[in-house]
Amino acid sequence: MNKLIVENLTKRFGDLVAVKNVSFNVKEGEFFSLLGPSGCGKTTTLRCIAGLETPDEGRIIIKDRDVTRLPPQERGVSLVFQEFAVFPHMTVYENLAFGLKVRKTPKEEIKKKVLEIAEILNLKESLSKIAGRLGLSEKQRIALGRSIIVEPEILLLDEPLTLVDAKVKEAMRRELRRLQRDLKITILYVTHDQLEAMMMSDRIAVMDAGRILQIGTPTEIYEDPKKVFVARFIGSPTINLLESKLITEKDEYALLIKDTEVKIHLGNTSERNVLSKHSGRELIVGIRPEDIDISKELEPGYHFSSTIEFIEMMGERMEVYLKLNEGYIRALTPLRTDLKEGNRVYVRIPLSKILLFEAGTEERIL
Amino acid sequence: MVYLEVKNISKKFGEVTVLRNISFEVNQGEIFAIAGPPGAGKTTLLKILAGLINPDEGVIYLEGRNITGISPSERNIGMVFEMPPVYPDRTGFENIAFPLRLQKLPKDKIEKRVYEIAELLGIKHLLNRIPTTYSGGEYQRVALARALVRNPRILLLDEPLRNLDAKIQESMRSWLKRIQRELKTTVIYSTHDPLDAMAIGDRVSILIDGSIKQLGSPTEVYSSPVSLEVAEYTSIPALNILKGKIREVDQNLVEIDINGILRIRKKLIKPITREFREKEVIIGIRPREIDISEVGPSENTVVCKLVLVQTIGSENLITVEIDRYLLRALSKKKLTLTEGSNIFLTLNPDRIYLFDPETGAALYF
Amino acid sequence: MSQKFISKLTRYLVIIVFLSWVLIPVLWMVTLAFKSYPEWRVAYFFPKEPTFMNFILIFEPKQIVGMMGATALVDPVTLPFINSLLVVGTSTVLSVMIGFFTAYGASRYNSPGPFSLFFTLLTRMLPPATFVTPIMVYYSNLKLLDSHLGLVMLYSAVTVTYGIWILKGFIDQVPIEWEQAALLEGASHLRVVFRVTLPIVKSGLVVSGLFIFLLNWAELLFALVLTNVQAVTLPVHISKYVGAVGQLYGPQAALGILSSLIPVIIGYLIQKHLVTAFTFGMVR
Repeated sequence: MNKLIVENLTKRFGDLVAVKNVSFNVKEGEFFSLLGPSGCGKTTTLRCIAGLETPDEGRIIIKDRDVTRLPPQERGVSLVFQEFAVFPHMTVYENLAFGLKVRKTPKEEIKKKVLEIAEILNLKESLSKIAGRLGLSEKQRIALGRSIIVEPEILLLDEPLTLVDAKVKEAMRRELRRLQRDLKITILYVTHDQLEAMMMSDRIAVMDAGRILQIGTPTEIYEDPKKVFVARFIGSPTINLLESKLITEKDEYALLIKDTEVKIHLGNTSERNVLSKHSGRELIVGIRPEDIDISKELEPGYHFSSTIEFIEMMGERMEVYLKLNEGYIRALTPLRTDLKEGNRVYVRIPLSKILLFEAGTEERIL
Repeated sequence: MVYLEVKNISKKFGEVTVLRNISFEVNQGEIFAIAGPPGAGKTTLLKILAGLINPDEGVIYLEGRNITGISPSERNIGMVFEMPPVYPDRTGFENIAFPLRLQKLPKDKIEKRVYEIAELLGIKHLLNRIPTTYSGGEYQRVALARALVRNPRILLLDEPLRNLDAKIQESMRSWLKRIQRELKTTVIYSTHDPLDAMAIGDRVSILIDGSIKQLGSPTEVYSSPVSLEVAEYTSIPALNILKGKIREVDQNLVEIDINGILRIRKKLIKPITREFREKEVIIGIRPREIDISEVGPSENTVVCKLVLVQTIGSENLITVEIDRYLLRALSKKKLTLTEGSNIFLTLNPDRIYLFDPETGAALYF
Repeated sequence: MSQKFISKLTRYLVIIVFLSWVLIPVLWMVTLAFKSYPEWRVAYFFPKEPTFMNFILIFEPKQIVGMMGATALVDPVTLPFINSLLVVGTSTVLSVMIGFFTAYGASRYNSPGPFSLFFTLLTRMLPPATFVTPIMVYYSNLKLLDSHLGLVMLYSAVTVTYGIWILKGFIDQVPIEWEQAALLEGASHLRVVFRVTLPIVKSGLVVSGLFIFLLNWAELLFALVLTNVQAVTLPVHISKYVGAVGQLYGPQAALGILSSLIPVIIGYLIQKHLVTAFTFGMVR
């Protein structure tokens, strides 16, 4: 059942079209994220849904009600900002109770609900404390509690974790997801951090320059990006993108990487008919660093050799920069002591992990 | 070659001790990373190094010279702090030229130097524009250019990537590393993110609660934490912490009883000291060292309940529950099970950390 | 879409009505200034025979006597106009300058502290009329009556509060790290204030300047009481036309245009800064 339907949403600010014809659905109980770089229109979209902005075109339907013309308080949404709204001079209890008080809920019911939420969010011991004096993660939980307690149809979150430090962020991402699962809340989440979106969402809409480029589950978007932008935006470290040309050699297809001697033979693939349409054309080869294999000895299946130009330590893994004519290709490997900068190694690019894009941005084969 | 030497720096603000007996050395041309949770004292330390704050105790030597009492402007230290000084009312050129103008350098020299630095950092196109038109990454680069234009002896960076989009942080960090290599500037880089520090630093120091808990290469600090605090801090996703008991089986083997959940046997690298036979210990396991599988048990395996699966692209972050404990694991495997079902958890006895419950110190044997 | 159209129409109608309410009297004044004596009391807007007579009259009032048999003589507007420019200009500059430095101290060094700042605001809360007599007495003793200096001192003292408050807001928005960086790079504290803070809050200076200028430019009460012949300001001069000299509507309107001219010109010249001032909080 669709909790939220957004149809052809368009919003302009003077000459700037911030949101262009955006459409998507959010199902009941789903965690849906709008993901994209700063300025892509995701926050504007959220604000239109919340009722803080009026769209120029399009409709917003929440639980079968067309709310496009309704003010925020009548839509049944709750919004949590980056600078989370916590009343500093009130106690935690009063903060949580606020929304219910405004709705004229009877006192006993308020008490019951506040205690419930406080239990879930681990705020029970802090109920009588003054909110302004508490730490960042408490304040966040209070803001979250305040928005959940009024039982909105849909909870809107605008990059709530951006100001939080790395360790707390990681913990919050897990807690938020669990909370959402347990309470079965429908959430629409806006973020620029792809890791965040991947970890928490049931489905993600990747946006750029006001448009939605792709909607899918995290796995779908990671494994099956439909555009170069999506492939590049998702995945850390960033995917390697190489310009190449699709050539035929002895009745088989191969990819010639631009400005190098490197040829990746595609062998006898099942996608011959697709490849035949692009024979001789320029294609962009996408390969994720984590999919590249490195070996110190030449083994069968390895495509070319290269020198290690640079190694970046990333805790339990290393990002190895391998020289490739003018630039380099990056590989992610577990911590290995046998690889040092300057070493000559052999590189293999598993065919099954290659993503091919037309040089005019489209996907072809996995 | 030791370039910067910091000895016994302490600082109190009122009743609160912010820095406690901080000592370390920085070599010329290296990137020295300081990682710590917010409030650990990183910014205070950097400000003391810059000369903006005076320490209560301690000395700072730069290139052999004692600079402890010297005013900031005479230290020739470049800085990029939380609100980098990129003034909105003037062009990129003017911003970068500012420190040189203060030095009253001749106009042509200033121009030459600014263009030099802009070329190096790839920001020539920003020189004629005003900062309100810059993107986040461009802003940081102009701030950096300004800090570098005077050829500082040391560059202090206080969480420089903080306000940037996650993706841009990645590229900026690589870019920073490459620029530093070319310029060979000595850099002190502070951040709240341990992974950030370990990725960029040639050496990393962990600053928690005002003192340096560990210092070493990123690999050292990561693989061989000296205490529970450090291991916990450097773990993202969060370290799994359990209690256990050691029992000596023979000279080379101990059995570790993890909370009654699992008993594993570990080969000793060196004999344990007397006090730890039959002792309670704290066990720390990094999520990546836990193996999750859907198939049957083998050694060192226990059954638990699958609570949550979150994907991070090539890996999955799995939360499991066992005996009221929640554990986190990172696995490359594709799981087909749904949440709530049973799943198998395997530990590698050589990859768990043991800590003394009283001191928190890591026990290696 | 018709709902959108209706709401748009309503909005425009409301704006037109409101604007008319405000602007029609102004328009009347403008057209009146170009009407000759016979047309001063007519009901229609535009003069049938526009003339510059009124503008000449305000500078050379002797002609009035001949024209309408006025009983009182009025001086040319030249002196009051210059006086106003001088006095108001000087006190604005003083207020803004003193305001800036005070605000800087308050913002960076907490001196004056919050209580003192609040106190300066308190003084604005009392009706000016309560001060008139005591001030007049002081001035009389100090021989400051009818003097430019006296007026400048008074105006500056009164409006400096606004300068402080407006500028403190702007200075607070300038991150202190920006000043610290300049200090690090070798600038002295004074240099920092002039080369860093001041240029960045330029629009704040302009806004407070305009605000203070407008306040002082229209100030009547104290000018009336404290000036006589030499330091007479424009508002005082205009007040003489009301009643005392007979109903010289034409010249009065001309005076209105003359006195509005300066603030309008200033406002036009600095409009870019006004826009910047309103969006000042946009520091990264």
